[in-house]
Amino acid sequence: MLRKGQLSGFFMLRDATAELVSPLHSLDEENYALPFQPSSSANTQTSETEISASPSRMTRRVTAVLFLLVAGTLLLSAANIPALLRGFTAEVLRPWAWAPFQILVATFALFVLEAFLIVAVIIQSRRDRVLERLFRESEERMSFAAECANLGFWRWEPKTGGFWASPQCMKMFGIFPGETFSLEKMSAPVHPDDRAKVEKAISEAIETQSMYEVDYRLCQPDGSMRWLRTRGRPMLGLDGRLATLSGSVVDVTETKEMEAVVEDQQRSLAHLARVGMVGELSGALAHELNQPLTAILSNAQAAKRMIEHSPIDLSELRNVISDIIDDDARAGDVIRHLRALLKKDQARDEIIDINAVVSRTLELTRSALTAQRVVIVTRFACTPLPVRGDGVQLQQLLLNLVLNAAEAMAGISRDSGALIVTTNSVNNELLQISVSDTGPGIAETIRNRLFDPFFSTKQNGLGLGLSICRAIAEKHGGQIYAANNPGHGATFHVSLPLAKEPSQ
Amino acid sequence: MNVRQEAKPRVFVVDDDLKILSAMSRLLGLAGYDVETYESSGAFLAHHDPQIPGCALLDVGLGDGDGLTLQHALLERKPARPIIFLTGCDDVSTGVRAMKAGAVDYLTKPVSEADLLAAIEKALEADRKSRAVRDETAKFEQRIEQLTPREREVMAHVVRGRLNKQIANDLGIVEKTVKVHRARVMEKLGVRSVAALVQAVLKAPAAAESRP
Repeated sequence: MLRKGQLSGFFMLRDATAELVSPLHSLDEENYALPFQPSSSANTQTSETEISASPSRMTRRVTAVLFLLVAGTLLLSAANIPALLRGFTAEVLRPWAWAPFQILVATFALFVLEAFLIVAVIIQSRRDRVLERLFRESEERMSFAAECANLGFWRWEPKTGGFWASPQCMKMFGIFPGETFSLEKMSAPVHPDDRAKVEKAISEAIETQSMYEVDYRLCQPDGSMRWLRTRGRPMLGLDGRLATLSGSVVDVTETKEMEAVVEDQQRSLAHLARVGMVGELSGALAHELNQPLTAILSNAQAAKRMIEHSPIDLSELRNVISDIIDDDARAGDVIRHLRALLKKDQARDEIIDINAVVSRTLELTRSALTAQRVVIVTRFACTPLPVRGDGVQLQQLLLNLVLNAAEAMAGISRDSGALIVTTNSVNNELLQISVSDTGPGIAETIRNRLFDPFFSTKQNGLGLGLSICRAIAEKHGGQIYAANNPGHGATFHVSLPLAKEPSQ
Repeated sequence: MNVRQEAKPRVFVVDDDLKILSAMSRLLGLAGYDVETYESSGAFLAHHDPQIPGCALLDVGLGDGDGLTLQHALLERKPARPIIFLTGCDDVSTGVRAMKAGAVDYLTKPVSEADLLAAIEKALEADRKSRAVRDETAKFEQRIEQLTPREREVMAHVVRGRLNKQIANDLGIVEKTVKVHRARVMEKLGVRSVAALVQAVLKAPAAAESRP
């Protein structure tokens, strides 16, 4: 039956409204389009769901019985009119004939029954009208809510290949009402870069039989992009295979655009902080550059002298030149680092080894720390610790922590400063970096505000360093917190999720 | 100390950067110096023999303590070694402190060959001069050792410019004896005139004044 098919498409409210919907069958359904009513062309499957003992069927049966009864009563009355007339005149006392009294009683009883049934039918039809109104109102509310929230619904049954979607959903995917819609049409405009992500989310949800949520871009016919967020739920059949996959879809383009603006501002801020940090480090960086340049110059001058001498010691000359090449690479590395820190780049998404980030950071700060006579102790995890994210930002995070530690130790007596940097994997999913100093530690009163923006204990600090650190840690799915050491000084811990994929 | 000068002048290079160490060693070796390299101030101090003539080329920022600390440690070991500093970052206050403590020069990395060699020559020259003075003083001190206490007394008076008669009066001896002592002093110290005697005593005042 077509109606039942339509009902099965109306999956979300089916259970709750099945009884409400049924009386409407007597109405002309083409006259008003229910928001959740599937387009007839898209509706290709019928459901086996029987709605037994529904009031509508009762009403119809009662009406049929009523008609029979009325017909019977009329026949009975018509057939018995002569008998009645006769009975009341001549044969009134014949016991074997139909007693007029009995006829009268039977007819009366039938009339009573009919009256009762008529009243029942009238009451029922009135109730049906009320239910119909309620249902229509509920439908309208639902449709209005869905429209306001820009929420679309869809449902797919792999066994039958049936696919249904709400008008909002179809609109989002650029399908006009009346056009056919299918799973293929739904997945075709998904941005190629996001397709794998969506498929992964769905297959994981089917595997774990849980809800999934995935954001993806949708290519519009005019070449623009919209961001959609789908929340879906797979339902397995009794045979353990996927019976239905259904979900909601909402346009989150505005949210995404807002997020992008916020992210861009955050990136600008982080970049500014980075530039400031490079300024702080300028002395150390000049030293880092000067070292290889000094070696290059001296080697070049030595080579010049060697050429002027005869005989030329070619093997030594070769050593000199290869030393020059090495030192040039060393200077180049410093400059590359510097440029990476100074550049305002789009956030990168790469797999990086945290140990490498830590050693790169310490290389940059080594001369600044040595000048302060701070001893650097590193305890690296013996295996690489891959993290997915932006290497420059993570380095900024570490640079900030190391420079803070150095600053904390600037006031203390000489020869007692030690910076301890530890990396280790907490478990299969989490790694931890700890930066520990031997400074005065963190005062209890400011501990809660440590990571707040614009909170600083430094005289000319902007108070952005640690808040940016926290933003970076959180952006990488991690956390940052600080604690005082049992002895003296403080330790900052950063925990980050380990990347699952092997490093590229 | 008596095995003299024929060896090449020696330059002690201390830098925690191995690449710089080897480059400097090469360059200075080719420029005709005997080069000794050390990675840290600790290693340098452990092996350092102040008696060997030469100068030191120190990095300001060393791994185990800065170059200035090393400079002070070297100053305490006599005879003091002339020091040239090399610095990665041009820090004026450090430079001033280094020069005040007697550094020959304070060079900024990367350093040109000409500047470096000029500074080294200057330092070696200073070392040579101070060693020559030290040798002469030592020689004179040895000679003063040979004087008798009375001769030393007479010498002290002579240097102060007193006449023989006054000296005789002060010491309660006759003028003739003063003359004899005075001739002995001149002879033992190898000087011919009072002026030369005064000059020599000025060079080694400690030895001359001690033990009255």
